[in-house]
Amino acid sequence: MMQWLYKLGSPRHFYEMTTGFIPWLAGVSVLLLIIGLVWGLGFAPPDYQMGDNFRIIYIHVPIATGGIGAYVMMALMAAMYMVWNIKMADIVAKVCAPVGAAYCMAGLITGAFWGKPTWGTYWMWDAKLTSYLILFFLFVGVMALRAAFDSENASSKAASVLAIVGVVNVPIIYYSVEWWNTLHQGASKLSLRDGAANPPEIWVPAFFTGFAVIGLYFLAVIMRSRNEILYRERRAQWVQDLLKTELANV
Amino acid sequence: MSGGMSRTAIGLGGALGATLRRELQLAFSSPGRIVNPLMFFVIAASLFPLSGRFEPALLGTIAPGVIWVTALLAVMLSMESLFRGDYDDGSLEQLLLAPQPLYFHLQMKVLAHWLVTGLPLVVISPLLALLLHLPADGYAPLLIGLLLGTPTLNLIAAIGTALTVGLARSGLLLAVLILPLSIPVLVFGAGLVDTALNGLPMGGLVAVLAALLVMAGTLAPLAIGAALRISVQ
Amino acid sequence: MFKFQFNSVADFFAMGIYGFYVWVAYGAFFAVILWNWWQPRMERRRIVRLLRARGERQQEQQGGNATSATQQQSAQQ
Repeated sequence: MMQWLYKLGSPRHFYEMTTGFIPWLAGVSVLLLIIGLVWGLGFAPPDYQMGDNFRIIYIHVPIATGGIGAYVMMALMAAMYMVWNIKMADIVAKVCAPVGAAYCMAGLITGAFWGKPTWGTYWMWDAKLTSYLILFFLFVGVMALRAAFDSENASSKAASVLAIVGVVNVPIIYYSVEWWNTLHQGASKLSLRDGAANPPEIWVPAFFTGFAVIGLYFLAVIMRSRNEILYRERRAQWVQDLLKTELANV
Repeated sequence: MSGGMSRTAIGLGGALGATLRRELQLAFSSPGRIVNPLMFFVIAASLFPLSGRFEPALLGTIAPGVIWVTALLAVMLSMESLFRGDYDDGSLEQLLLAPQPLYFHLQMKVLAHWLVTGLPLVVISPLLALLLHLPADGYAPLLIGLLLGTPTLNLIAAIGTALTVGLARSGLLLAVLILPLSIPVLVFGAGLVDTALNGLPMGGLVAVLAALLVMAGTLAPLAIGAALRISVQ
Repeated sequence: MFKFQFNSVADFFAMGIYGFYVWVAYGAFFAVILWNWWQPRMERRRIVRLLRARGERQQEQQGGNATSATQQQSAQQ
C-alpha cells in the first residue's frame, strides 16, 4: 500500500497507472449516473411537499458537496506540496481548482432553480448559500493567483499558500455568515429536510448519482492531471517515447 | 536603505523597535501613504448618499455597512506601499536573511503600517458617521469595531500583498484574493454596530473581533513570511 | 417501487408544474459534467500537438548542419 502511494507521487507512475484506469472509471461513473438519473427522474415517487421539483436534489446535493470536497482536497494537496515538496501533489492541487469551481457553479445554479419554486426566490443571503458563494470566490482567487506568475515554481507555491489560508478561513466565514443571518432574519434554517424521514425509494437513487458525481470528479481530476504531467515532463524521455507510441494518433 | 547595519549587535527587542521606528519614519517622509487611503475613505463613503434619495433614517441604517466596506477597500488600496518600496530597493531580501526572527519583524511592519494607514481611518470614522446620520448609539461600537477590525484586515491583506509583491500589476488581483477572506471581519464589525443599535449586548461580538485579531496576529505572519519567500526569488 | 411515475412523455417533461426549473438545473449539471470531460480531451490534443511540433523542430535543427547551440537551447525552452 505504501509502495503504491509512493509510486503515485511520481508523475510518471501516476500517468502510467491511470492510463488503463480511465475507461473503467468513466464507464462505471456513467453507468451509475444513468441508473441514478433514470430512477430519480422517472421512478422515484414525487415528494409530498415539493412535488417533482425535488428531483433536482439528486444532482444538486452531490455536485454541491463535491465543490466543498474539491476545495478541501486542493488545500490538502497544497499542504503536502508545501511540506514535502511532492510535485504530484501540486499538479493535483492545480487541477482541483477548475474542476471544483465548475462544481461550485453547478451547485449554485441547481440550488437556485431548486430554490425558486421552493422558497419563492432564486437567491437568499442564507448562511449556506452565502458561504458557498464565497467558496466559489476562493477558487477563483486561487486560479487567478496561479495564472498571474510566469515561473511555475512561484505560481505553485503562491497558490498553495492561498489555498491553505483559504481553508483556515472557510469555517470562520461559515460561522460569521450564520451569525449574521440569525441577526437579520431570525433562525430560519433553509436546510433540506432530514433525509432519514424520507422513504428509501426517494433517497436510494441519490446514492447512485452521488457516487457517479464523485467518480466523474476524480475522472476530471485525473484527466487534467495527466495533461499537466505531459506538459511539465515534456523534456523527459518517457514523454518523448509516448509521443511516438501511445500518443501517436492523438 | 534598510538601516540594519548593527542589527546583529542589538537584541530582538531593540531590532523590533528599530523596525517600527524605521517604518514610521519612512511613512512620514511620504505623506501620500497616509493621506491617500484616508481621502479615499472619505470620498468613497460620501458617494453613497449621493447615489440615491436616502432619508436620513435609511442612511443611518446603511451607515455601518457603508463605513465598513469603504474602510475595507481603503485598507486594501493602502497595502501596495507595505512591501513595494522594500521589494524594489532590495531591503526585503535583507529582511528575509536577517538574524532576527522574520515572524516578529513582519508583525512590526504590519503594526507600523496600521499605525500610519489604519488608525487614521478609525480616527476619522466618526466624521463619516456624522455625515451618514449614524444614530448616536452607534459611535462607540463603530470605533471599537474598527479599532479591532482594521488591524485584522491589514494582517489578512498583507498575506495577499506578500503573494503579489513580485507581480507588476497586482491591484485587481489583490482585491480578488483578499476580499473574500475579509468577509468575516466585515460581518462581525458592521454587525457590532447593528447589534448595539438594536439594544443588544455587544460583549460577545467584541470578544469575537478580538479573537479574530489575535488569530490573525499569530497566524498571518507565518503566511506572510512564506509568501514573501516565494515572491523574493 | 419501480413504477414509472408519469403517464406520458409529455407529462414527464412537464415534471408537474416544475418542468422549467428541473430541466434548467439538469441542463446546468450536464453542461458542467460535459465540460469537465471535454476540456481535458481538447487540452490533451493541444498539448500533444504542441510537443510533437516542438520535437519535429528539434529534429530538423539536429539534422541541419547550420544549427547553432544557442538555437537548440532556445528550442528546448
